[in-house]
Amino acid sequence: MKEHEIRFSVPQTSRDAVADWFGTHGSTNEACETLYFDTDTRALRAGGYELRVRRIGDTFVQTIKTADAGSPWVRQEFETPVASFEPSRAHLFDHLSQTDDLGGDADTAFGTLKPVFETRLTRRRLRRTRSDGTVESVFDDGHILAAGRSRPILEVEHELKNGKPSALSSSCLEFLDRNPCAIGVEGKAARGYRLWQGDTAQPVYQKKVRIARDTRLPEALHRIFANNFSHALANLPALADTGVPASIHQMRVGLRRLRSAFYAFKPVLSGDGVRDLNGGTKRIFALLGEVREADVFLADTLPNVPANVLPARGRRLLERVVAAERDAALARLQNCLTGKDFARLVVEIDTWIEGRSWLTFARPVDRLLVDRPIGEFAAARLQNMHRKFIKLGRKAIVGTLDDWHQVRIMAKKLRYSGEPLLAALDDEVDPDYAKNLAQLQETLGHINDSHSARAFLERIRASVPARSRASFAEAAAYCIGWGAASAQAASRVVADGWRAFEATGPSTRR
Amino acid sequence: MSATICVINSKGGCGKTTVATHLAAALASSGLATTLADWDRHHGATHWLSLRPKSAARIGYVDWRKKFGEEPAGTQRVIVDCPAALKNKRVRDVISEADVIVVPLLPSVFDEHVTQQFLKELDTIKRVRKGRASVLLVANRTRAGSLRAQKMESFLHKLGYVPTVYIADRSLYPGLAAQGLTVFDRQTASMQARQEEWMPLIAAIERDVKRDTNA
Repeated sequence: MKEHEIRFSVPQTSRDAVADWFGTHGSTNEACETLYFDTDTRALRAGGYELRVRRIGDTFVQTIKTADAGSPWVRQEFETPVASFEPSRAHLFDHLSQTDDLGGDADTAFGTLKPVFETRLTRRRLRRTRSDGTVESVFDDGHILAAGRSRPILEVEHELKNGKPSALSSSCLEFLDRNPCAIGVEGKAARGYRLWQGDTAQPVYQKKVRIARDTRLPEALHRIFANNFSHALANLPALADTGVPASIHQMRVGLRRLRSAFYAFKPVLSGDGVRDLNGGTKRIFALLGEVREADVFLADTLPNVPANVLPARGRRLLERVVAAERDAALARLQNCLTGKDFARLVVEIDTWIEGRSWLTFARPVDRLLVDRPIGEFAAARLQNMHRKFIKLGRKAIVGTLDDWHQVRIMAKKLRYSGEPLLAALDDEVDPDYAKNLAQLQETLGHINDSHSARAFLERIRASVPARSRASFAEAAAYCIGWGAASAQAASRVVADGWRAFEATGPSTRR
Repeated sequence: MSATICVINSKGGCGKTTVATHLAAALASSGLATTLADWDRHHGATHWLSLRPKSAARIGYVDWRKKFGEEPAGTQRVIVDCPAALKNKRVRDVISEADVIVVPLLPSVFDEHVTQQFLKELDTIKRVRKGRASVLLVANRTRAGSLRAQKMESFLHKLGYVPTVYIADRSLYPGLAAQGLTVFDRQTASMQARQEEWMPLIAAIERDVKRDTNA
């Protein structure tokens, strides 16, 4: 059975208000105790499964959840009543895709299943039916217990029991209007495993999506959108926990891929929804960009400025000022990502993706898109995007650094938008094309890092205390001068790289 | 690999070029890389493309009287405006390889007579006879449900055919052609109503192209 649910993390200050909201809507209360099982080798976790037995009153229910390809909120869920906290072997093996998913000999592996962690909570539950579907909402208040450690649970989950994703979205948005909460990406199982391991949340890198060229557009689009959205969101826990540079970068990459997919499929997408989501994601992207700019300056730009250009004292000052700027930008970002508006945006994107009504039907010929294989769409679209890119590059060859900046933006669009399109074309595309494009974009990125150091340093100058401003301006001037010279030199190198790239093209093999 | 759609009838003036240009514009505007191959000695399609504005959906072009069998790289659909003859070996070869054969005809006794001969000839081509290349009939300048349409239907029924679409005679067609356009290049409500008339043919072509690809 498909489970589609959206989770919100409730701040301690809103506990009573949320409890009142559930009470007003006639919720029932129950005490839940749940054990989560895995083998010695954590084979279930590694295979993307979740096995739990939950006791509510005198009843025990075993649930198996399987990892869904892509979507952050949609999974397969299978339940069966059991007699006690002892897991049912038959039910588990019915839902493993292969019995050796449990690792080695199935019987031996099953014998090693034991509780890894548990949750104890009070659950308020209510079910509401709307014209477009039925949604069950639960408010869980309790703890996760693992390896002698404990972590509080205070969260609300809305689950679509039947009907359209719009019913889930209405339910979530109505709840958010009354109860400002943050989006809660990690489920109890993910947090339980983390607590058991004593880990902080880690950055998540994207898994490659392979889409066969004869996959119809609606299915292909769903997989691409869901996968990119999922990748961006999966980095939220690490970003909120520690804000390490890789979590910022990976969330940004996920969002960029989602936005690039909007661009790649623009000719076949219905306009209004995409425009709204593009606007929302752009704001988050800009906030991520402020932190990323500081990370790039500290990790890439500054270490490259030679010691004879920038004296050590100036370097230390820049490091200190930029690090402070990063902290401030990260705080703004974390504040935004744990806020109600971001939670709303996530609900809206999820509804848009799962609602699957993104294809345009503005013209009669648009009806053909439903049956069009992604490979056919990709071949034509890629040629089109490549033509635009070549036009910009030819202008930049005889133009300025700003023209190369435009080429860099288009290179990113082409690279990230082109990824799913190229993947769908399998062996029909020159295999060097993606590699050459990535190389070109990297080189253009270096020019940009050097060139944009000026804008970045000028922007943060205002936040430098007055007493250090003169020293900062001096150190920044060394950096800016070096950056401008490097960018100018690199633009000559990129011109050669461009000519080599232009000679390849994405032409299909015959 | 591209799919070839041949528009042919040995009867002249039955609307081959109008049908070919409309198919090209429809498929191009749906996002497919489409080429119009002009093989007709009157070069009507060539002239039409020369009038086509840059803002309209891009259609590739090749003159098959000069560069027979060629198509621009990346082409996904080739619409061939064929000569009004099936006796020529080259024409038979092209028809034998086509994915879909589109036959326009008018509701007149002369057209019916020639089309009858033409369909018989077409049936001598093995791929057509075996049903591996589909033959789609366009009842041109015929309003669906009219008396003329009913007569055409009963005539075709005897030959074992059914028209795929009826395209009503409208004064807007010559005007659009004079600008290098088709009904698929304008998105007003009345133009979309005209596009709907063509959609059964476009959908049937796409269905048969995919069937051919999957076979």
